[in-house]
Amino acid sequence: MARTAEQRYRRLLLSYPADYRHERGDDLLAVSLDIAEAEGRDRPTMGERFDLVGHGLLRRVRGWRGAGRSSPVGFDALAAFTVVLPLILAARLSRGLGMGARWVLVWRDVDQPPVEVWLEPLIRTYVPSAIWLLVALVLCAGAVRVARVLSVVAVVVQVVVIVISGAVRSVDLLWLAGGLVAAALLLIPGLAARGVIAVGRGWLAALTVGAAAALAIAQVASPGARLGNGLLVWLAAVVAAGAVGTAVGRRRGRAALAVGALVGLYLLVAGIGLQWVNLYSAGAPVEITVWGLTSLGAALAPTVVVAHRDRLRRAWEAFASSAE
Amino acid sequence: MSDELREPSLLILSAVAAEPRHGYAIIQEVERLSADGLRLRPGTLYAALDRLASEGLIEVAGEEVVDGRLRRSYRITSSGGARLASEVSRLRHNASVAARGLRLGGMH
Repeated sequence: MARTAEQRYRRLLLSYPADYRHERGDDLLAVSLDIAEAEGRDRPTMGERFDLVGHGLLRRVRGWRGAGRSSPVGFDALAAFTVVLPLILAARLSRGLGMGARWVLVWRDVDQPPVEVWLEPLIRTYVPSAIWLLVALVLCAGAVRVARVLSVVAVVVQVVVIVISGAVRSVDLLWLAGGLVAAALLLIPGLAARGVIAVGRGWLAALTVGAAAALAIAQVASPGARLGNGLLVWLAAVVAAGAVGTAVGRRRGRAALAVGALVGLYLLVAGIGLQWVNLYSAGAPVEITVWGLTSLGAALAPTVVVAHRDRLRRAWEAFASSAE
Repeated sequence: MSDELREPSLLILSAVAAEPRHGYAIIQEVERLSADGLRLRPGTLYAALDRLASEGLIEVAGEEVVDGRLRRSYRITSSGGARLASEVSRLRHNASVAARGLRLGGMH
């Protein structure tokens, strides 16, 4: 009895597009069967037939109209991750900026450290990170092809630096792995372009600017902290800003969640890796909190502005016209 | 600014405002809430749920399988709550304007 009712309703649900059916079919079927059961029927009423087939066909028409713009959330999330990853790889600049700030603010007036203190890490970490920052900036401009070339250059530089330095440090291998993942993702046809669309060029630019601001503030606020916690706090700020920005800027709650999950997983692996190579130093909790909140604020502000730019523009226009 | 909610959407939003409900429970609650016993059909219900979800007014609260059937429950979001509240004040205003009109009409 119940089986035949289920089959009858399932047949009506064929009017819906397959992906919709895949996502909502069981849900829709359950409700239909609940109603039928409550009313003691084992077949749909004429009204139900029209209702289900009508809405199913309507959904198909909407699907065609939206075709080319819509793509599965998972793909969008991976695409968004692809364009955010170079920014994460640029995070190693954090310590470099801190050193630069200290050189300008402190060391210039006191005793300068010997050249090898800053030259060796400069070449080893900051040059590849700077190229990755360049990749992030180029992606903001939507130049995917240039970003691809630069990402390959960045990976090659990472390898060359490891080979030249002679000593293979696990932390460099960890970042090299990240670079390889980023370059591989960028080389997948269409993925980065979709990512730029999914995230939005404005938002991507805001994220980059916000991250750079967060980076500088964090390093000046807490110059003593080491790469490990600085990196993780900064990444947390970037991810949080990204998630909030995506959530308030677009109705992409699920995509934002998926990106958060992907980035979170990446951080987890990177975090474990950093722990493993003993780079994650246990800074004072208060310091990390203050630092984290400042970074978060700096990263969030431009994101929120971009997300609400239409509303802000309307408000400004209303204000300007009222002043006339 | 935004479009006013259609009656089924308003009732669905009201149905999930008090507590998360799954599809069939929403249909029952809407029938109970509406003045003229509106009985939503499944296709209409899900079209409305999709629209409300895409506008961020409701969200999926959870999923469970009961007696071999999937029950996905929905709850109102904070922006859904705000939207419902503004709709309530709009309707209340309209109702009071209409009532005043009737009263004035009755005095003639």
